[in-house]
Amino acid sequence: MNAAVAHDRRVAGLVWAVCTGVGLLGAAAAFAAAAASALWAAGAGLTSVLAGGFLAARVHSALAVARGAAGEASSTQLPLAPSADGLDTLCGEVLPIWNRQIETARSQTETSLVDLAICFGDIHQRLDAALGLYRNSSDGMSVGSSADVTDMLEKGQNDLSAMLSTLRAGLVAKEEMLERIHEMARFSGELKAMAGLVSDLANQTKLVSLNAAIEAAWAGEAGRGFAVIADEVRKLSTLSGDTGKQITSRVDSVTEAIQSAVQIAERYAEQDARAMRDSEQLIEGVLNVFRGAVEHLTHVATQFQHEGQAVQETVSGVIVSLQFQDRVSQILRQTMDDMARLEGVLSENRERGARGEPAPPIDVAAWLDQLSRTYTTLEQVDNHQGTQSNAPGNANEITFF
Amino acid sequence: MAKTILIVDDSASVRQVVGLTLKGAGYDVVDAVDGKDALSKLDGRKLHLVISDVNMPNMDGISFVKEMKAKPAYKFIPVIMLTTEGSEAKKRDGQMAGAKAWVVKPFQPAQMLDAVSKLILP
Repeated sequence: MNAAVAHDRRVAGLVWAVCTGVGLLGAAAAFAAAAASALWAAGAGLTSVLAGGFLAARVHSALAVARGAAGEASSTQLPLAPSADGLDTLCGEVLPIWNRQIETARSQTETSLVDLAICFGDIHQRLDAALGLYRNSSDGMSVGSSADVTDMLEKGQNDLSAMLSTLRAGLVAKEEMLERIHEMARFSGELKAMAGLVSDLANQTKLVSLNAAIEAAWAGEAGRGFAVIADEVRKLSTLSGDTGKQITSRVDSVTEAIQSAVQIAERYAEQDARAMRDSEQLIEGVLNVFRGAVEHLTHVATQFQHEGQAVQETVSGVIVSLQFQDRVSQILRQTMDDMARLEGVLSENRERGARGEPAPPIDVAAWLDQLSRTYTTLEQVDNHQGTQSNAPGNANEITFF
Repeated sequence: MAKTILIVDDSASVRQVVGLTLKGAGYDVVDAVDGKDALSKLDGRKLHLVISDVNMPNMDGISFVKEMKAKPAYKFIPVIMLTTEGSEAKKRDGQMAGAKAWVVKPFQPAQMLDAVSKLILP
């Protein structure tokens, strides 16, 4: 097999791997950037994909003819000689360009993600401050937690119930007073009857005294003294009768006054009872409106708290996602380092070729082994081995020593 | 008074998100871009915890932790290694250097704060 062709084949293989890696890493950068909504970074990543894929295809195509004329290589150690079609020169020129493009995409992605991290940090802090204000106000104003508001409503309802009880006790006292007045009205009837009895007794006494005076006249001189007494008794009975009439008149006046007072008291008692019923309904209505308003406020405040917590959790998720930039950056840097290593080997061999010296063979296995030793992430190991077992999708556990 | 945590990482975005997480929990934060920078920032400063990356230019995290632990004033400062490295060999290196915990990026803020609260000096 032609050594130069075999060399081209190996170099093309390495370049193809590098180009594909650049494309994939560009895609990874684009994915990370797109996840962070950095559109320009996504564009840079896409550019990397296109550039990497395009150049890889061109190099691969350029070597296809040479590969067609060559047999299969059986050794992993191949001599490196100057290529006829300028592949070394192309690689020497294009590798530094790719390196700079990747570094630009990497650094721009990092700058953008730092800005994003600052923005999310600001959102996180402002939200935390808002939720802190809410929590403080709920402690002091009893608006935040439903338990506080329920307590406040119950206290208000109890206070108002106590006030209504006091008013109701006043009404009961008035009703008792009214009952006493009714009793007084009954007593006045008895007094009136007693006054009537006094008048009857006076009339009877008057008749008795008249009879006594008639009998005294029949007795003549002997009954003169008795006639005087009978006359006095008649005068007393007349006075008693007049007094009885006066008592009856007074009792009638008092009875009339009491009945008037009873009517007034009954009217006021009815008004008080109606006012009490109205007050109870009004207070219940106000409490219901207040309860409804507070329940609405509590619902809104609870929603606010839940939404705030959800946003905080989302921001925490963003914080996790932003860290993938570091992994992507390390993978890109490691790939850039390996490209630089290849560039160095090619440059060295070009100089050897210029001096007419043979190029030393490339130990592909050793190259890949050295490459694998520079990996820092589990994804790189997976990619190297062509497996997909260790790539982290979520945050990892913490190991304590 | 707030406790002070030194963050050492060459990635600005990681310094930012770690700082954001810690400041949100009330910690003061000092940051450094690599091990060498971190050593220069010790300078007698009172620290309660260090969170360090492993792979950094100029001086890597393992070397930094070894050098910091060699200083009497910082011998007992707890260290959390925060890295993309997940191999057991690297973890052993960190443990030998004196780290108290190993966190593979990406970290969950709540997990990180839990680890910090467990390890930070009183």
